[in-house]
This record gives sequence, C-alpha cells and structure tokens, in this order.
Amino acid sequence: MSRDDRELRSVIKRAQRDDEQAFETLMRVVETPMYRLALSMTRQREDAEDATQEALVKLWRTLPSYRFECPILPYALQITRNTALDLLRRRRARGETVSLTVEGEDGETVALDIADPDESADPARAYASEERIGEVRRAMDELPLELREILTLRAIEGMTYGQIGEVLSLEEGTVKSRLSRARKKLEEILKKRNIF
Amino acid sequence: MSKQDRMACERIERMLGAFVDGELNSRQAAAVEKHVGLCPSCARKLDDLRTLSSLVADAVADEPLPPTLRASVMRVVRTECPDRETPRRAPHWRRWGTALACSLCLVVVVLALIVGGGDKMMMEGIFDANTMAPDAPDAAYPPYDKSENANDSYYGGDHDADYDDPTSPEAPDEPMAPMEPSLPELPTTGEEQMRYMLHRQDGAATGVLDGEWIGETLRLTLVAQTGEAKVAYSGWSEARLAAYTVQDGVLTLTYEDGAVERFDFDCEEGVLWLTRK
Repeated sequence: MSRDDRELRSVIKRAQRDDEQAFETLMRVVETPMYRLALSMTRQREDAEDATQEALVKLWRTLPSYRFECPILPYALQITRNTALDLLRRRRARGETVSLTVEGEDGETVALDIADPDESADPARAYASEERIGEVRRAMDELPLELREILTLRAIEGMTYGQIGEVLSLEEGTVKSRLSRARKKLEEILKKRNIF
Repeated sequence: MSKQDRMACERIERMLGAFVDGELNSRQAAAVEKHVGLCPSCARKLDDLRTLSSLVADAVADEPLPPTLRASVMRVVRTECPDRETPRRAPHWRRWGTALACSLCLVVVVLALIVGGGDKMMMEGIFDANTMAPDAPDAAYPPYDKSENANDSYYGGDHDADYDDPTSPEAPDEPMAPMEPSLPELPTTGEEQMRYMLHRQDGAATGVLDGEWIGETLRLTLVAQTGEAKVAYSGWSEARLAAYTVQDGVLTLTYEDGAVERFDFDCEEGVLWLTRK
C-alpha cells in the first residue's frame, strides 16, 4: 500500500468517526470525478450540481458502512451514478426533456454552450481548441447514456476496467466491449462534423 | 493483404482500446507494439484512438467544479453532526480504539472449536503490533517472552508460568478451562501485522498464528501440527467481552456494557468466516 493510500485510508477512517474536517478532505479527492460523471449523465450543470451534492451527502451518511472492499473512488462514483439515474427518472416522470439547443433571437436554434472558453496566450488557437472540445462534448451528449457514462468513467484519471465495472456492475469484458462501441460511435459523430 | 494478415489486423484492432488504456498484460502489449510497427493501417488506427481518447479526456476535464458545491454539502454534514465533542455513537462493532477484548478472544474461541478437532488452543500475544510492522517483512519469530508481565495481560494475573513452555513436562493435560476474556493489546489501525505463538495445553502441538489486515477484515492464518486453518474476522470492538456462547452455529458475544453481538459461523475450504447477524 502506498503512502498516499495509507493517508487516504486514515482520512476515511476519521471521517467514519464523524470527523467533519476529514470528510471535507475526502470530498476534495472525489468531488471532481463525481461532478464530471453527473454532468455527463444529466447533461445540465444545475442538475449535475444537484446530483453531486446529493451523492456527497449520501457518501457522508453511508461512509460508516464502507468496508474498504474497493477503493473509495469507484464507491463514490457508484453512489453518484445511482443518484443521477434517479434524477433522470424524476425528470422523465415530470415530462421534462433535455435540450441541447436554445432558440436564438432570430429564431434560429443554436447549440447550448455548456462551457465558457478561457483565453490563452494564443487566443485564436485557444478558441479553436476550445471549440473542438465543445464539439466533442456536444457529440458525447448525443450518445446513449450507457455509452456516455462509460467514456466519462474511463476519462476519469486512474479508473481501471475493473473499477469501472464495479461502478456499473459489469464484468470487465463487457466494460471493454462497451467502451469500444462508445468510441466507435463517437468517432462516427465527430467524423460527420469534420472534427475528427 | 493475405487472409492471414487480415486476421492478424482484426485481432490486433480488437486489442487497441485496451492497449491505449493500459489494460493489456506485457505479452499482449508487446504483440500490439510489434504489429503496429509493421502495419501502417493499424498504426493509423492506434493514433486515431489515442487522439480520440485525448479529446474525450479534455472534454471531460474541461468543466470546472461549481464553486458552491462543497459549502452546500458541508452545511448538511454539520447539521447532521452538530456536536463534535460528542460524536454520534456508532454500533459497538464499528468502534475502534484500543481493542482489548473481542477479536482475539473470538479467534481463540473459534480456533478452539474448529482447529485441532476440538482440542483447545491457547493463544498468547508475544509482541505488540509495532514489532511486526509491514516494513519489517524479514522479522523472524521473536524470542518467546517468558517474563511475568508479558503474560499477565492475557491471563489477568492468574497465569501459571508452566503453561508457557510447550515442552514443559509439567503442562497439564486436562481439557482447558473456558477462556478468560482478558487479552493482550491489539493493533487498532488495521495497518500492522501480528504474530502469535500458540501452545496446545498438553504441549503436543505448537503453532503460529499470523494476522494480516486486508481492508477491514482480519485474516488469521494458523499453522499447527494438526494442519492448517484460516480464520477471517471482520470488525473490532472497544468494549471488553464479558461472556460468549456458541450454539447451533451462532456465536453470541456479550460485552461488559451490555451490548450483544451475534455471528453466523461458516467454514469453507479451510477458511472460517464470521458473518455478523
């Protein structure tokens, strides 16, 4: 076990004993991957924030029963996924649809930009790069949920096929084949738009 | 391209994703590297896959965390745990600290029932966890400590010095009396390893019990003359054990503070599992 792993284990154990500061430290480790997964699933920032907040609270409440059978990140992401799925079901039940386009002033539909590009030293290059990232994100939004979430999980640093399988309750072989399918589908979409 | 080459390309193409993700073993990765070095088509597919993975990683990473998220969560956490001086009490089996009772006594009970076909085994803590830290993999069996102090913590002062020496001709051969709940100090963090010497009451067998933490489970491996058995136990308790009973495959522990815990026994392929009821 590495030193970082030991330290994290110690933080988790203190958080299990109601140490709020320890839980806040733990939160810094898992909050970003959790938010990214929630965003890829819900495709809306507000819903992603709600789902992530709810999942983090659930993590706090269920932490005493966490037995270290798997690393904390897949455990936290599993909670996030279930929470996001619940939110999507509630949205569907309310008849809400997710739209990636809004109507512009002149009546044309325009793509909903979910990120604001940052300027770099080379604005043109930065813009081109950010535009490309935006296109990739829009292309991912068009994928079915199960393909979108697996691409996001893989992109989260450090997640192995085994850990992804734990989050999604899949065998490793299925993770591999689904990831392959997701990449092929994404590539098709990007090639159609000349992004790839 | 021959049919054989086409089949080789198809096989390698199926592995490209796992290769980019670092999920292939060294033999498979070497096969992919060798093939793409010779096949321009597969080399291009590998490049495309790397580019695609990089684009996805950038797209996922590009989104910043909402600035209010952490504060919102901590508000709820603090509401549910308002008094940090008196944290909410977790069930006994989750309380950590200086575990003086349950685990080792439980293991003794279990070993007494399972190992050696019913013969009772004594267990003594020879050293504390510090002497068998994971950093000291080469630590051999420590010298057996026959000092009075080393044994008092287990026997509670009623220790008979002759019990210590497995070769002692004076060791009694009657069935052992029920276990006393007084135990040596046990490691509390789950990081240390431990080793205990075991002596059968009649001196006919000695053994070594190695303890190793795996997550929250204590796995104890006993090697004795009568064979090998493994014991796995999960959970520790801070409270001292007052009494135990074993009946119909259920182990019941009663603590001095009145708490009671029950476990199902399950022995499978030489491993004993204790499942909390």
